[in-house]
Amino acid sequence: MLISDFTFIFYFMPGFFVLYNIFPPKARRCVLAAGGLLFYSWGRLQDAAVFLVLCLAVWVLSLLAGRSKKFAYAGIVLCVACLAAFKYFNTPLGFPLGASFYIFHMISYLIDVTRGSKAEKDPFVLLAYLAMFPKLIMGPIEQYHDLAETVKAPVTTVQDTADGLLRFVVGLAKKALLAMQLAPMTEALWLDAPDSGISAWMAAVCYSLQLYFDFSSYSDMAIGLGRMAGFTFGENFIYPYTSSTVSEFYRRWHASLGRWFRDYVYIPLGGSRGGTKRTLLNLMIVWVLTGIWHGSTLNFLVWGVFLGVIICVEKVTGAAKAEKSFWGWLRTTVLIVLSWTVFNAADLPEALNHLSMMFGASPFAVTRQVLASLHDQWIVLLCACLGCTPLVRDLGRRIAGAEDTLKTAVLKTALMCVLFAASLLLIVNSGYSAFIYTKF
Amino acid sequence: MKRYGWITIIAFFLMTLTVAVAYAAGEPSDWSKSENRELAQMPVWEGSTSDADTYMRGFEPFLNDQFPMREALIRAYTKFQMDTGWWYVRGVWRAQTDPAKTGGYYFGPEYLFLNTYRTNDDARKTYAKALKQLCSQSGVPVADVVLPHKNYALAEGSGGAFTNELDAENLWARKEADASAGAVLIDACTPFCDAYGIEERTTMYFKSNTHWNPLGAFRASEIAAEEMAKAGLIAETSVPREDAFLWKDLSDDHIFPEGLAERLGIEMEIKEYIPVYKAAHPENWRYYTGLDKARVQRGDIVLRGIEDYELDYNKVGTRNLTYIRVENPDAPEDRHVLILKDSYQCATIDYFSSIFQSITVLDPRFELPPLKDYIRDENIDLILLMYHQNNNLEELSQYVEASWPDKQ
Repeated sequence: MLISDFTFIFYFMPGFFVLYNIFPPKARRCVLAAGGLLFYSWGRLQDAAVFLVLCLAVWVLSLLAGRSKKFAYAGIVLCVACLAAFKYFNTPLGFPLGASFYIFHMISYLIDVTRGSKAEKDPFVLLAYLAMFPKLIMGPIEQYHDLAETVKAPVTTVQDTADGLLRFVVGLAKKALLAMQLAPMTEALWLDAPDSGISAWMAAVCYSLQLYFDFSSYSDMAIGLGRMAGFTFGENFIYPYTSSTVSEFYRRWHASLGRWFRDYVYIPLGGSRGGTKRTLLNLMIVWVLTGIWHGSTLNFLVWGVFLGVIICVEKVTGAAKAEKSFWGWLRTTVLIVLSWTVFNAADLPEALNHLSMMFGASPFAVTRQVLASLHDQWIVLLCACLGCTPLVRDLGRRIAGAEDTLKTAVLKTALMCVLFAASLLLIVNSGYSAFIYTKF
Repeated sequence: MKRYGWITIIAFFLMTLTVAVAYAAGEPSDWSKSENRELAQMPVWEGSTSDADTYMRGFEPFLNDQFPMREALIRAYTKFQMDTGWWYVRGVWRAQTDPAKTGGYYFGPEYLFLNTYRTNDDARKTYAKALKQLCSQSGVPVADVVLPHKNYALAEGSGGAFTNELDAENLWARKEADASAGAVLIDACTPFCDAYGIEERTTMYFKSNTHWNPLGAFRASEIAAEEMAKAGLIAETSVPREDAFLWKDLSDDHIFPEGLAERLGIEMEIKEYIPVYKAAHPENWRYYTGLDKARVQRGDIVLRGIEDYELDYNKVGTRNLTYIRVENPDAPEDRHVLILKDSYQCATIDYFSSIFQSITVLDPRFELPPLKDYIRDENIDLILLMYHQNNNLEELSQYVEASWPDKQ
């Protein structure tokens, strides 16, 4: 089940939150764990069995870490080995949905234990943290120490539930009104690329927008659901396309993964404490790992190395700390769009082929696909471009106002109803559409 | 929101509850007219644990397909797209209608088109290889009659909304393959557009269907026959005269409710021009069909269902059948011709039967015995490939390759 599925929206979500709020805070970890397992196992019993076995192993090894930390390290090795096996080898278990994310949560917990956090004796607390359905499949990757206390007795309020609902619907709308509308355009333009360099560039730009709205919409929905359940997740996407450097972009894009790598890889490797060479090496290690984390094909490695090199160059030249500028933004956006082209391709030859189309291998002809995209979807493109900036958020705040008044509540509720209805209309029209990041 | 958060919560849960109740109260539909497909039904638990995943996963397509008032919502959104002037709606292109952009020629919005796709490189290579095999192994001359696709013939009338560059490139690729394999190329596309202006060509294709009408099929067949005469495949005198056929316009008495319009929810409103033709004197012709090559009546093959009020492409042409043979002892060319084809060929049966004493029509999209059996059993002495220019020709290539498996 995904959090944009009708099964979730019309049945699981209302049922879960009614039940969740009936129980007292101290019992909610059990509801959260049970709900997470039901959510995850829906249609994927084998994946759920793998998940449960791993949870059990992590819990036991973390308890044994009280005697010797070697057990926690063994747990980390087990998690990494499982992730590698799922991702890079054709195991009979296939690739369990969300494994990249939940295994990072498990590693987070085990590393925290090696660093002195108390191993969790109550299996329901750990299970509630790992199986927390809003973040289980596609993040945000919340580190254990950030949620450890809340998960034991999460407290919900009317305000949190209402705010969470709004955030959830805004996320759903981003998915349905923008990401799902950009998807067929990207696909058509990508197919059209051999006939037109303009199509190749437009496909790359549309994919960059689609990926942003697809992934950030999930994060919005997850953050909203987390809030409804009494948790405050960190922001995962902070208007990354307004960045002036690639380094800044990745502080704003999938920030929870960036934080995870910073806290559990970059800093343990020495971070920036060992001089320039060591810092650059550490950065490259992080980016190679980030590339590998995304997939087993060579294009992901090339994508990671490409970004690592750019970030290293920015570090060396001081560009990473430069003031915001239009040229910086333009350079960053072009580099990011190029990197997404490599990322989106099925393999490296396809990526190189598409890049060659962008740089002159195809004539810069205006094909009918380009014309139709601009003619029919200009409003989607415009909204997507505006949606990448804080303008809409600021405008919304100005109109609704920050005060707790009846007018504000009614306006926000009306907006939510309109967005929800429009999203349902477009989901019904477009049919089922999975999130891009479920495959990672 | 501290005091008034309840408003948001209640509104959201009322909306979800309404939909959930509507699901429960509504009667599931079997078919989506606008999408021309069956709709998912409530999953059924088969009882075994191995079915559990399938059962649970069945809910999402069911809930998607059976969303309350789904068909009405789809039509409303489609109408919105059409009213706001979208060119590409539900996978269907609607032509640009601005007369200023079409040199004063008005190209109605009811002219609907599917996308043209570039025939992919693999398909082109496979076709070239299969064609080489056919030319070298069959022992009879092979001619590739390339038929003009609607998108190619009518792009000019779209005022730039779409071009026929891809169609032209597909035609070029087909010519390349023909030349390398040693097949005779009969290009009916280029001379067709040269011979008829856009206004005339517009009358030769159905508006709401991807095919030409019988007039288009006839005019292209004339051009193909003349090109075949130039190539020495038939005598110039064998090209049928206009008076060898009878014409009828069915537009006033019949409707042509076709799929592309149905997708857009505008079925029955498009007035189609429905010209049909038939051979003037088919009295001595004999017809065979089916894998058992059973003899049948003419009405079982040609213009079958033409009396119906609702017509479709198969009724004004010939249904896509596995096998058809027409014998015309009066034809000028004493040849046994084998035609491999797609649906564009359907409306050309009477025309080519008027030229050749025997035509055998095979549709490789169906399961067929090996091609070499037909060539041997029916004394075939000419093979015609009759496909429109944008066809990937995958079924044809597979059929040829299956008939002469690569020994390596």
